[in-house]
Amino acid sequence: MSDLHKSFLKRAKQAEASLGLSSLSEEGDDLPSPLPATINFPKQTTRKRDETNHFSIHKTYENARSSFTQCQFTRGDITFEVYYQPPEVEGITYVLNHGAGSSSMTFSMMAPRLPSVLLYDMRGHGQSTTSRPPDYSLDTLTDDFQFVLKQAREKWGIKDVVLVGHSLGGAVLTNYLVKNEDNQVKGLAMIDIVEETAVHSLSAMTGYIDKLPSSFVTYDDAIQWHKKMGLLHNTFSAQISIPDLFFDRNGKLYWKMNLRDTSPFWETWFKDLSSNFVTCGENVGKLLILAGHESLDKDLMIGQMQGKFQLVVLHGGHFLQEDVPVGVAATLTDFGSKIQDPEGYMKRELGVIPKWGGKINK
Amino acid sequence: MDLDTDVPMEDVSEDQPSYQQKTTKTTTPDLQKENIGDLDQWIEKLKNCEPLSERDVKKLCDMATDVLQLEENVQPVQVPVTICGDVHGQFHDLMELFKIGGPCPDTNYLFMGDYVDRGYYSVETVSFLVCMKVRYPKRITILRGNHESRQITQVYGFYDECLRKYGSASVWKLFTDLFDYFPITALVDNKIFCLHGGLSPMIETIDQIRELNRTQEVPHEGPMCDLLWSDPDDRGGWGISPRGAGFTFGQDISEQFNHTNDLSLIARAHQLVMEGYAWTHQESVVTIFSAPNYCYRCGNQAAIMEVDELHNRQFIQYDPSVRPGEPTVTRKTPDYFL
Repeated sequence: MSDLHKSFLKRAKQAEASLGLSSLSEEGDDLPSPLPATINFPKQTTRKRDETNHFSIHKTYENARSSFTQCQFTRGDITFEVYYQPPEVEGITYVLNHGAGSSSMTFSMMAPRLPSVLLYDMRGHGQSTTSRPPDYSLDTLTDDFQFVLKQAREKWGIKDVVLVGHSLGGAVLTNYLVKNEDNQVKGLAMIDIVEETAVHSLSAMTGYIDKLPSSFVTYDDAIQWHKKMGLLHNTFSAQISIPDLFFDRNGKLYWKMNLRDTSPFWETWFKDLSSNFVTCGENVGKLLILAGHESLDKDLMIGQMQGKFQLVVLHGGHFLQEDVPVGVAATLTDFGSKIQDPEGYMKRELGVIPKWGGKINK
Repeated sequence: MDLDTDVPMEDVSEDQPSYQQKTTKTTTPDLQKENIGDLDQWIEKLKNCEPLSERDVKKLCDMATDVLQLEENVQPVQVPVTICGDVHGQFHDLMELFKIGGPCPDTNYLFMGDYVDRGYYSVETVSFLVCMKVRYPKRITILRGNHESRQITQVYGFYDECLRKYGSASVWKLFTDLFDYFPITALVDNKIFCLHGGLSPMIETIDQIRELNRTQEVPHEGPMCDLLWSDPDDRGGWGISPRGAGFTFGQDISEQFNHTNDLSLIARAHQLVMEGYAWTHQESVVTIFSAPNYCYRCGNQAAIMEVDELHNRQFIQYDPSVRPGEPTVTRKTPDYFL
């Protein structure tokens, strides 16, 4: 809801200003344009790299990674790359799960705007390894998440969490709450994922994968390609998220993640996602953030019209956390503080001390 | 009831002094006739689901402003009356509602908001209800819902529909300006308190509602926002609403409010209920939802509640109307959604 979002944003900006933080412009370089019908990208295989620019992007990327406490957790033959940003004072930790073909660095612009953050790369993504043969079924990815969360809780003593999943990540986290009773999970937020739309778009995925260039020469080429495809709109963010998607061999950049490996598992990914999102987790607050326009399917629409979750629509592309990191972070912190301390939230943010009617529910 | 067509005409002349005074210094019967003629013509046109011209919408909204601004924050309503919930631009289902409940003005109606957004005919729906309001002001009461708002209508469809049907946002502006004058609650025979959403921790008595300044955009927070956004809850006490606006209130709260204000019932809309109506809080609150198969896909029944002179209540449930040429729901499929 844009009106509510505006008030969150206002409050968040006031909060940032009061802390002396300068908020990044949300204008991006060029916010969403429709996907072009055909992409004519010049062949670049023979072109020589502009080393200065390429390595300056690499440095930006490495700096962003090292701003987190880094750690690896090993489960069987898979090693997961984990990033943690501890809270300054004890509080809620936002556990962020990226989507397919992405990596934890998709959240790098948003993370500093959240009080405490736990990120990890799913198997085969970012800096994490994968199994042979690959297994990307929803249940396996959910088991991975459960393992990483348990390890992180033991290592850093993380208590109350809000789970935030982008795209497939939202399905993983919802599935986690369907299968586990976890009373330290206070909230579940999904970013731009709706079962009906996702299932429809899977039929177009093979075509999309066929269009992917097999390699790029420089990070900048890869960034420009993502921008031209309408996937990303914020260069600052892309300079951190894109390098995490490629490995460098003989002066060329190749995709770490082969999305074709995931196709046998697609039908598991979004099955019953909407009804599960609405019903999973007793006393878990729910938030759905969508990009561009409201596109609820039947189960989500019934859930919304029964007041089961909050819907926020933000102006941006599918990777909202990259296109509008301030807006998404403000929406999440507002959501988090509301569910963590309803009474305090009412008093502080809304200026409401009930005049009658007794207690306020936790 | 043995109303004839003269009664509503008297209705108009009784209840329309202000705009008549504005347009001409003397209240001439000719002008009344002209207005009534316009209204009857518009109503006939709208019954065929044909939108009014922008010029006529302007005229209609001017007349409606004069009617609605004289109404109270807590608009008194007499029995018998038929109480209805969300309509959301489902024009053909609204016509079905009037078939089932009886035509207005023979039957008195009270609508509890959310006329626009989501359905395909918000323009025709709200135009029709406003025409009926101006034509038969004593026979129909239209309250404001959380969707009768500039900001919400930009997300959920009314704004886009106005652009599509009129080529500009001017009709959207005319209606959203008019929404500011809609009353926010109604009180049926001092016993049934009607509103779109629910109770507010800042409002303990109905008199406190009378003190609010309602002629403004629905605020993000505060008592007016709560009345349009809150939901009853199984948990007792107050709660933060999962919707992100308003509050949840428990049975203890409803009972206390009804006791304090000497009410028998709170009737409200706002939530989709699969049977069209649902009792909560041991019959101290009823939810009424009047958009069958909501947004053409939710598979719910709709209902209206008839209250007779003796305060007997009767619910009538109904299914979606059969209508020709319904646009199919098409969704843009993105290339990439992982």
